[in-house]
Amino acid sequence: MTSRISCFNRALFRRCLRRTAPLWIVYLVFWIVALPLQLLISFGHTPYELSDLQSAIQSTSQMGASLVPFFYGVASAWLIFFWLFKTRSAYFYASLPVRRETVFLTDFCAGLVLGLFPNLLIFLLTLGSTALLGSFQPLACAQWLASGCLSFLFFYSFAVVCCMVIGHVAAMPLLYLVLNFTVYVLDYIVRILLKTFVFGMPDQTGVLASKLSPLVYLLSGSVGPRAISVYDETDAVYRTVGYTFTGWRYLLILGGVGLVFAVASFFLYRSREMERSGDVVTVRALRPVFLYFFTVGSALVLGDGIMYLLGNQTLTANFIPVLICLLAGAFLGYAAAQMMLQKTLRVFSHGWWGYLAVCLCLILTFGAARLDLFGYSRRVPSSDEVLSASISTYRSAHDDVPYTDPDAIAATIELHSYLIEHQNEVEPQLRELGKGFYTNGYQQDFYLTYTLKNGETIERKYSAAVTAETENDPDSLLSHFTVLYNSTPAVLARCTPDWDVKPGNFTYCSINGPTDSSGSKFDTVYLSSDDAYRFYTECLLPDLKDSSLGSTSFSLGSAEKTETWNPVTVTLDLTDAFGNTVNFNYTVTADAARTIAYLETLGFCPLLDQG
Amino acid sequence: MIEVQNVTKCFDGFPALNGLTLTVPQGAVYGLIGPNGAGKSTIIRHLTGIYRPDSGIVRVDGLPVYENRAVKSRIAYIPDELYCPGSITIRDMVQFWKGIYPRFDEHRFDSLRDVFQLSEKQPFRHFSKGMQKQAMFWLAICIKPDYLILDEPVDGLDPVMRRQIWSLILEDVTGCGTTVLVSSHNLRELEDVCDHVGVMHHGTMLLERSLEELQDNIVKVQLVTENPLPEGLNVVHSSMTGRIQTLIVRGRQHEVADLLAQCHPMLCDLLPLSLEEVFIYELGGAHYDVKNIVL
Repeated sequence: MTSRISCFNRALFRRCLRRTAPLWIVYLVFWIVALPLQLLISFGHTPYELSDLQSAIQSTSQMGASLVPFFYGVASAWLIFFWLFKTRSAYFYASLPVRRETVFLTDFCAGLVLGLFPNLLIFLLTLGSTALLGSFQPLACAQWLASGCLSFLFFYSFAVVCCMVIGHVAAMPLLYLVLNFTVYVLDYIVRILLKTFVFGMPDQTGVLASKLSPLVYLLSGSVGPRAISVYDETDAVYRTVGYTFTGWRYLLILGGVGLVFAVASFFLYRSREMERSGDVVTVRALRPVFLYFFTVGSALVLGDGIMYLLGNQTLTANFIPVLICLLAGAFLGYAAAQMMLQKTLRVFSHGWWGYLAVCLCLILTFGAARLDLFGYSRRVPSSDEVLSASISTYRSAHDDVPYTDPDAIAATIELHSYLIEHQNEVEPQLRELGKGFYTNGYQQDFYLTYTLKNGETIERKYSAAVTAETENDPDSLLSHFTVLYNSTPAVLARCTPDWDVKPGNFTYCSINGPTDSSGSKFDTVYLSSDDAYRFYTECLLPDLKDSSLGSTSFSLGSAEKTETWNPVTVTLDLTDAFGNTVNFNYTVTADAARTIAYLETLGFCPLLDQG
Repeated sequence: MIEVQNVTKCFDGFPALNGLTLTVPQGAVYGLIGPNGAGKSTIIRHLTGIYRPDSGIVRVDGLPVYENRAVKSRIAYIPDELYCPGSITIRDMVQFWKGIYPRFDEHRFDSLRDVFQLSEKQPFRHFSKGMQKQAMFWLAICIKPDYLILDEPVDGLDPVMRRQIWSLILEDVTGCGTTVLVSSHNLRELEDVCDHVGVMHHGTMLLERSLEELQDNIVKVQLVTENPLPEGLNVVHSSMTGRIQTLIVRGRQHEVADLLAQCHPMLCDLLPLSLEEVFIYELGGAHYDVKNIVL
């Protein structure tokens, strides 16, 4: 018969708080200075707008829900469960007449108090300081508190899981760091590796990988304050009247996952073998998981590193060298993992079957990818399936804008099919270009993206060699890409908003360029909303529609020309009815007759004297 | 009473305890001895609830120790390697101990202040190893434990303090019926305080007897005789210096003397063995290399 379970021990709790006092005192002082004190100093003596005060509080929410809990969470867990890493201390606590459940719950709660109590205190102090400033801000303060606490709950619980699994004092924070970025980094590296021999594989990390790496996602700007703008009819401009906090769903999910981690930690601690203190992995069942996870991770990360050191350009599209690099990375990872698990350097004499198994898996997986056994490279959607398509040179909101024109979609599919048919010609071209380290040209990347009617997205990335031969050859791959990229639907998608514009939408318009034919004098002119609207509808839009503006030339010559040519630049900011602002920059080219004519009336000389 | 039955414990395939059975009677002072790596500290960690046995039973007063708060609160444990958290003082430890051990006696703590004479406000880390041990004894005694488990307890203590501490422990044994289990390599000291002894080897219990019984059952003989040794004499070890044979013989002293009389010895001295000698020769029987040890 064992004794009954109590959930809390005051002596242990007090000791936890005393032991971690330096940490939470620093945390508390940091936030007092960063928030309530900062508000009083910044707004105490000068008149301010309400939105400025809200902005000051909200701007700390971003940091308060990402970087600060990321570091504070691991520091708290590490200090609170530090005793688990040392044999003497682990034995000391295990010999006390306190049940494991009590020890864990007391320590875990002490950690939560470390995060939540200072946050609550800062919340109250900030609330008080806003009241002192004469503008009580309970909502903004509550948003700060809730986002910080949810984020802390996740990062702290995650660090506690690491403490339960890892028994080594230095390995625990390292593992925490690695695991926080694992999905993001591995996704990126797998894409980097696969793109070398999987035709069309894009190398940019997906949103899912970012969401599974919380710090990356929290810092990406997807979670945090957003300005609320209201259209001011008097001045025909949008004004920021307040802030809202977006990303609650993600933060709530993080909090929920944090609770799951807390429960998992509880059970891991209950079954923990105290004699494992000092081991890298304390849970027996997880030791092989660690071994193979570390080996595969090392194969990818170190394999990529070795490729980089050897000069990956020469390896592009070469399957065997990539595979050798992967196997070398796996070898290093397997040996290192065995050394950590067995706590000895003598691991080379036995037990290499696991490594051979990993090698086999890598060869089979990457071999299957190379032979396109899953049909990834060959997949081309039919016109009926596609809702929209896009072509871009880099993945950004400006460049990667979809078009729905059926002819343009058909042209995109046609180009895609052409690429697959000519894969055997395209890959050697790039390899040859890579061998010369781009001295005779450069590699231009193009992204083709389809959004299908069933909601699926197909993304592919291809590259075209830009050389003296390809830029003048109408049948070259580069020319095919250029034609589609400069087609009217693609240009209009890239260079115009996808909603009907009105004068009130133009929140900013500037024109910058030379005012003499030699290009030595420059000026900047700002247009009113009405003038900007007229300029856009009567000059820019017609020129964009007949492709005399907005086209891009991918050639060796254009790269040289930008160094000597100073064209006129038009910048437009358009704000939609929801307060979202889009920005367009147009570089005026010699063919844009309507635009040039208008600019000349403003005193600009778009056509420079090249002589 | 402490009962250990067929306990097995392996560390990464290495059997530290191999079906160990041990019994410590109520109110006994039990000396656990054995060569390095015999498994003494391992079984002590089972007795204090740190380790969970792979198989077998570890009971105190008929109740399992592992995760048993009620049983563990009656056990005081002083390990061979002390855990002394950085800035903590004896005063802090008293506060902590009071919250953990319900029977912690603060009056006793105050009354022992003169014996230990340690600064209560000085952090543990500023103490020497011996002073840290003293502090742990001070605290352990104040728990008023029913079971005191000591692993190499007096290492680092000066002789005066050793005697002081043993005297306090034995006071508790006689006064309160405290049961003491002590593991040590200092066999001369154990001989003075223990009434029961267990000899461990390779994770098993080689022998377990009362000290009296153990010492009565083996005898050292210095013998000069020209006749062969009589049959039936159970010689554990023999050596010869000049004409004098030194024999370690298993058996009671008078039985051995009667047997040796048959060979008409010119000289026959029968001497009792010290615990240290018993330990060495018993282990010699368990294939422990004692060939070159001359006593």
